[in-house]
Amino acid sequence: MDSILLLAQIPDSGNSAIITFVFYIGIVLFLAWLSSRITSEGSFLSEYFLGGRKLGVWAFALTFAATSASGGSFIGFPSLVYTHGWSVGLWIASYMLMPLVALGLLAKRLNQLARKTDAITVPDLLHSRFESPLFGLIATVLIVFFLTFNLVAQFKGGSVILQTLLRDVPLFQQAVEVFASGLIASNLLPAGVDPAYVLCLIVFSLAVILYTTYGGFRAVVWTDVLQGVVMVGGIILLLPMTLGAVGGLSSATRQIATQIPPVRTSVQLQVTEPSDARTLLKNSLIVVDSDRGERVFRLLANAKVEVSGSVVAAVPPESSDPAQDSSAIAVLELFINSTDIHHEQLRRDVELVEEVGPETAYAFGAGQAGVYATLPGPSPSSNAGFLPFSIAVSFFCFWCFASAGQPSNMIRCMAFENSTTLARAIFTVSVYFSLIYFPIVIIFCCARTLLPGWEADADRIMPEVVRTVTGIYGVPWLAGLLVAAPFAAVMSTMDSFLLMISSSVVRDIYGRWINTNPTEKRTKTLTYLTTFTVGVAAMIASINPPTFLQDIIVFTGAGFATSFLVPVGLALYWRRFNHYGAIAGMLVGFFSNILLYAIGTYLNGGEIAAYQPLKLSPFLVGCISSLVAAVLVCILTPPPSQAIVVKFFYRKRRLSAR
Amino acid sequence: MRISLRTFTMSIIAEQDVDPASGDAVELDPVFVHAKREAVIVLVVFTLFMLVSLGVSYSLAPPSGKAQAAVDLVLGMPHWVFWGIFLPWMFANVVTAWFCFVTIKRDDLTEPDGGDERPESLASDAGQSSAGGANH
Repeated sequence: MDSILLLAQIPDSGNSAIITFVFYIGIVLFLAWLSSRITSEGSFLSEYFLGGRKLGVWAFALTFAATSASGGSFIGFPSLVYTHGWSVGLWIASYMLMPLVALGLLAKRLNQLARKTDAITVPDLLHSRFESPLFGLIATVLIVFFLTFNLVAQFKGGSVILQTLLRDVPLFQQAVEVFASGLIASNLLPAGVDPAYVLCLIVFSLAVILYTTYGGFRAVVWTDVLQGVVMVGGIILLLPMTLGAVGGLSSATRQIATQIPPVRTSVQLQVTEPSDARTLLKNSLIVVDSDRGERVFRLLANAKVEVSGSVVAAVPPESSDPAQDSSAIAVLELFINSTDIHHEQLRRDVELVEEVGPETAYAFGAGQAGVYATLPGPSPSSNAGFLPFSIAVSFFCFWCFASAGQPSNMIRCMAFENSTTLARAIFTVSVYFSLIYFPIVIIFCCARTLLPGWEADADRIMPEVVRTVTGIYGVPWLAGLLVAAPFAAVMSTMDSFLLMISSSVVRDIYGRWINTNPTEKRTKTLTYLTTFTVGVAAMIASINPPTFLQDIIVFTGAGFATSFLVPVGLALYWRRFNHYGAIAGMLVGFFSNILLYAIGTYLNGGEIAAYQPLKLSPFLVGCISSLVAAVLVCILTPPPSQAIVVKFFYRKRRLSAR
Repeated sequence: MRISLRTFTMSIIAEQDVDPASGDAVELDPVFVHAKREAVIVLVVFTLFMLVSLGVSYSLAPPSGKAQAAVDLVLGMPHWVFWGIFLPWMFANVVTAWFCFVTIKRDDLTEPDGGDERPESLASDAGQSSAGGANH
């Protein structure tokens, strides 16, 4: 998530960004207010947490789609496409079936049984199916555990996007000054924390907390619909603009097929002509003549020009290596001609004094033209390339089945109105994802020719492409709207997670263990209070969040799927399945994921990483382990009561002939 | 016939049993039966698409060292992307449409005692657009 910090400044769109944001938040709050006016005859909890189980096609489809797409879909994924080329198309390809698998596998039975048992949460349903309070409690604890991590990551992501949107707006800068002086005076600002970030965090978080607390599930769904439309609208606008800017897809692909992965190195540079420009900003492009011909470099850090004309690092490196002094500038050498760069300024007033090195080439694909247009795709770190076959199999399974195993998706499956709604929603989400994910692959493959050499700062590529194409077409005001897509994606995920934690606390902990028969008034008060408190607690935790947040999001997604997919799937379809097997499946899935990440992190020197036995992802290993444990333990233990089997799998025989 | 352990442990699906608690005759819930059948179809479709998409992509993609010379475009994308990803993706939407509008049963999910293919969904369909013709 640190990458989000690098989201582009959009110099031409400062005012449009703040107008977009204010307008957007205004609509979201209005929708929340409007949704709260809708009354229903159902109980408060069912209404607040499931919208009265009456979601129609568009609401169900778009809330599912918007919740599934977090900030990663619009920040991390474009960065991945840009870095590895067309191979990422296969990495994401199972999204072609994701709605069919994620909804077609469990949704109908989840919805039916949730109605039958009056379940409002996933633990609620599991508690009824297995008549085991212990199992319900384990499920609740796992949900709260994973969601708390994830919520902090999402809060930070949203705040950073807002900060980058507003950083050039004078009004915002003044507000930050006042806010910072107030914090410093009251000694409330932790060391090393950017006051602008804290201000954005408070504004952004309070907006989400307020509309989620006030409107509940219905407000979340309605705002998800708006956010889903913003996301697909942004991509649909960006696709033809990008294709036009690069002269068509064929032209872009042919150019990509000639590209060679860049090499990272260090060089000493000297300015050749006197100039007033005393600084060279990070990501500046420099063209130098050398005995090897023309060479193109992109600066990897800010630099300054000394009186002698030497270019030195603006911030001296921390390395103790004498070769890495401040005159050695870290650069990325791009193996392209300067004539291939059309939309960025080139500095030609610099000469190469000496190449200091060391050179760091890609582990796979170095020096190979065409590697971006084939499989397995170039990789800076893996000798096997970006997508060897085993990883491709893992990801093909991961996107579909991990989505089916997310409790946030299961909750939505409990809320649609009827099976006709389900059928139409599956198709709607299918078309929706087709309009988002494959076009993103095309757009950011084209970005390789539109803005070459952004590999070292690839997380900025989405807003950079937006800034460039809106500039080309003379519509800078559109940039604010297009950059609202990742903002919408983060928001729609945050509100859902916030509500899930709240429902777990109110229904599965308070309602099961503390007060099994609370009054409606008490339930209401507790629900509002819990949603608000959980939101504020997550906001406070996000003031100084841990690093590696993007990895934490992946870790929690896999953790949810390995813990819940097998137990819930078997609970819905296997009559013999009992609570012993369910607990074993859940715990084995949970701990196998934790163990693989612990080993991977240890081997990776403390940075979060997953250990992949036989090159299989922790998700696959976790699900297989969970399945084996669940089935074995179930067979070795007594079957469930006959009353449970009849309740969940049978109905009274109809005497009338069919 | 009473519900016995055999019912649970063996793959024999008893269509008609007796609830030992109430003595009522019971039958398998049709929502359960339909949902299970649909889940099996989903798994088969997923497996077929995975084999086709990965198989076609890896067999058509040129080796990394020769990709520049071998780049062969269809609709502007490398031909392995077209045949292995784009075309299956479009076809997946067709299969999803078939699943949604032809295969999936319009069960009543609100019935407390198990659903059925009943007119609720037809009525619901009639009240909405005709895009999702129910299958009964």
